[in-house]
Amino acid sequence: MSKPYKLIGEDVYKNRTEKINSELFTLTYGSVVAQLCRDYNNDYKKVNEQLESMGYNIGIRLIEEFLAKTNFGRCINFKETAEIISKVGFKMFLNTTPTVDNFSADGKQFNLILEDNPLAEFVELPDDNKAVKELWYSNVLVGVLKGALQMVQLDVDVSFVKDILRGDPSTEIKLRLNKILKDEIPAGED
Amino acid sequence: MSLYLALIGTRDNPLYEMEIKMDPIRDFCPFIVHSALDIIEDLQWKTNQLYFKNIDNYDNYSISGYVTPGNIKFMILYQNLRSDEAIRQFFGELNDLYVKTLLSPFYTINEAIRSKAFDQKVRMLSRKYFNL
Repeated sequence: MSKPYKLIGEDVYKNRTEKINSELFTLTYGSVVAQLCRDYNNDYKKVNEQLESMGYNIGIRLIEEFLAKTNFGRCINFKETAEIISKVGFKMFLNTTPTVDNFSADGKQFNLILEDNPLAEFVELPDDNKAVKELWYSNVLVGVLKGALQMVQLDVDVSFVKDILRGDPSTEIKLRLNKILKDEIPAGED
Repeated sequence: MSLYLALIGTRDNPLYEMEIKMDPIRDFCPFIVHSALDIIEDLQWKTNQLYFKNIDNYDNYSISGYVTPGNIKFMILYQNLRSDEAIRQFFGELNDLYVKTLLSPFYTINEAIRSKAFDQKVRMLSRKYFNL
C-alpha cells in the first residue's frame, strides 16, 4: 500500500479516462431499464436478472480496462479489494466513491454505501406498488462487480440490500466472498 | 387568497391538478380553465414569451397561463394572489419541476403525473410564492 488509493483513483479519473455527459449516460441507462420493464411486462424479477447478466458481460470486459489503466497487481486480502473497488473502481467509471462499511469479522463480507448514484438521478419508480418491492433499479452494478471480480479469481456473491429509490435511507450493495478460484475461467457468456 | 392549478398536456388532456381554498366554485374549476385554453392557444403563436398573465376572468377570479416549449400548458385560476412577478417565478420553478418529472425514465409524455414527490413540491412552491 504505497500510494493512497484515493489519490490513485482521482488521478486515473482526471487524466486517463474519457468522459461523457452524465445526463446522456443517466437517460441512456434509464431507457434501457424502462424498456426492459416493458419487454417483460413489468416482471421485475426477470428485469433484475437481465440487468445483472448485462452487467456481468460489462464487468468481465471492464476489468481489463481497469487493470490496464491502473497497473494494479494482486490484492493481499479482501479488505484491500474493497478499498480498490470503492476508491479507484467506482471513482474511475462513475466518479463517485462509495463508503465501505460493515466488514464482517471473518473479513469476507462488506457493504458498499452509495451516497450518490449517477444511474438513478431523476428516477422515480413506477407507482404500481410492485416496483418498490421487487425492482433493483441499478442492478447492472451487481453484475459488473460480479463479472469483474470473477475475472480476477474472486467468486463473490453480490446483491443490493437497500435503495433510496425504494424509500430506504441509503443505497447499499452487499458483497460476500465465496472462494478464491484456482484456475482461470474462460471469458464468455454464463 | 385561493388557487387552482392544472397542467394540461398536448392533447388538452389534464396531467395534474391542485386546488387550494376554492370551495365556492371547486367543481367548475376544470371547466373554467378549459375554456381559457382556446384563448391561450390563440395567443401562444403571436408572441415568443411563455408566460401569459390575466388572459381570462370568471367572477372575480383571474386566469393566467404558461406554455412550455413542449406545448404543455400550466394554467392557474386565482383570486387575490400577491403579484404578477410571484406568479411568473412560480411558473418558472414549476417548469423545472415538470422537466425533472419528464426526465424520469418511467414517465411518458402526456401521462398523468401521479408522483407524490411532485405533488409535495408543487404545494411547497405555492407556499413559498403565495403563502398558501
